[in-house]
Amino acid sequence: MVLPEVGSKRIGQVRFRAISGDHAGASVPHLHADIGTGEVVVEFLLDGVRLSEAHGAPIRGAVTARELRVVLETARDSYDELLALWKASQPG
Amino acid sequence: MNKKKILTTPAKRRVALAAARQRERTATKIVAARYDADRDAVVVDLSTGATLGVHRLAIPGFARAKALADIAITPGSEGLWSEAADDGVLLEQLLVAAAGEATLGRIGGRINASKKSASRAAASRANGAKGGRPRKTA
Repeated sequence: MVLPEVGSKRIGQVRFRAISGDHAGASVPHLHADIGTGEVVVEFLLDGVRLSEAHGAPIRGAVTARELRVVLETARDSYDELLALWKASQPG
Repeated sequence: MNKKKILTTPAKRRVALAAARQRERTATKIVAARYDADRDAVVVDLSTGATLGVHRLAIPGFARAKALADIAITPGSEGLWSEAADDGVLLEQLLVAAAGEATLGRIGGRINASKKSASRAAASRANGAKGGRPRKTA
């Protein structure tokens, strides 16, 4: 059986994940983005995307400047799809 | 179509990357993880040498999971992910589940209050050089 991909989505080099019960910045749509050996927390606002300001450490592990740019550009370019992923992960 | 923007400026990105590099030197990481079926618990070994066990039902992302044999450490080593559950958990969530939010909050507040920031230390030195706190006259 193939499970519906409601909690994660891979787009190019980046895998975006929604984590249940992640309370930090819960009121702001956000996803954890894996790239290389690191992780970046990205927030989705009305006019665009940004590094999370609710998570004390929005970059975890070894992330290069190029990887950070790739994550933010991918999040911006796939904004609607990723916002839908976050919404699908929310309770209720 | 409403074109979305990247709201984090290149300058802010550089600051964040530098802060992340600094943080990596001291951040607690998950070095090993497993699911203990007998206890129905997720068990993680931390870079501090401690081992933490949290019951599966206390982890929102794993509470509905039927199997957790595939849990893996996420890139960055501060979370776990299960492909079968298509969900995960952050190390901070495991710590809160293990110790309780109120207890962690009290401990965090106490630790932060006991630390003197660089700016507070500089202000104290400057005030000390001026003779320190004025004597009470009344």
